[in-house]
Amino acid sequence: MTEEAILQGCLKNESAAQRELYNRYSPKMLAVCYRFAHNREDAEDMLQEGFIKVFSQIHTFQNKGAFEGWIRRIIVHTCINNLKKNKRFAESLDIVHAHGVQVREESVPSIVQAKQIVECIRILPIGYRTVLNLYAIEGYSHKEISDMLDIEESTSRSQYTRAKQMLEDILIKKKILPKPREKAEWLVAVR
Amino acid sequence: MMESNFYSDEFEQLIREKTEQYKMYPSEKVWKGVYGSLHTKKRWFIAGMSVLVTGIIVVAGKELIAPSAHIGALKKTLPYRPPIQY
Repeated sequence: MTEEAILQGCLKNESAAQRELYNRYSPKMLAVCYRFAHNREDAEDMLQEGFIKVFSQIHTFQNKGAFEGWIRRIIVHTCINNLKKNKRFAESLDIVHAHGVQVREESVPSIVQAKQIVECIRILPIGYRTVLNLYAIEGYSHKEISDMLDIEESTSRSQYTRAKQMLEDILIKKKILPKPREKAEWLVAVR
Repeated sequence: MMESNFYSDEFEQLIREKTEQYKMYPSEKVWKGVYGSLHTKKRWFIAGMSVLVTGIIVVAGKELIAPSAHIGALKKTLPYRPPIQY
């Protein structure tokens, strides 16, 4: 089924087209939700809510950009709205977690896998993780993030800088990233 | 933080590339939840029609097996029509 046929079917509320669209994008979108959520169950709840919005707002999609990008924006906004319902989340955006994460050093260097990186991102405190996800992975600007999370632009920048430093530290400790002196050889090896 | 800031753009690119590769497969209950929410009207229509058809069958069957007093009384009140003779 082509993307156009799926779109047309979804506009007519046809369940076969809806299932096809869901099958095509849900694995990627669940991975997006998982990076924001506390656990897999929360991620599935976010995914379900997000896809209900996708199907009910599908008539608003204009063929100007990529369909996947449009779906992804809805899913990300759903995740953020879910996180904002939690009082602790707002507090976490103002906190500096300088020593908040204890990471065990790995003794054996491991091959860089997508799953490992995602799991390391999930170790980050929720405020750091959210800003890192939105800026470095989803490509939102600090201005957009500040609007989405109701924080200052400067807070978004500082949270991102700290999040990035903490993630680098975790990845080095887990031997997923190399130490600076090994960087050149490693980059050749992973790409 | 130890040995940080040695990547800048490369670091972000790597994180983006690797996370993009990651996929997770949701359980079937997620689709059931989505489907259930989207097709509630259809479900209510089917349930309503089922109740209606079942009701009609039950009432019709009951009347066929044991006609109610109301119908018997109705028969009695009908004017007498003599049989047609040829």
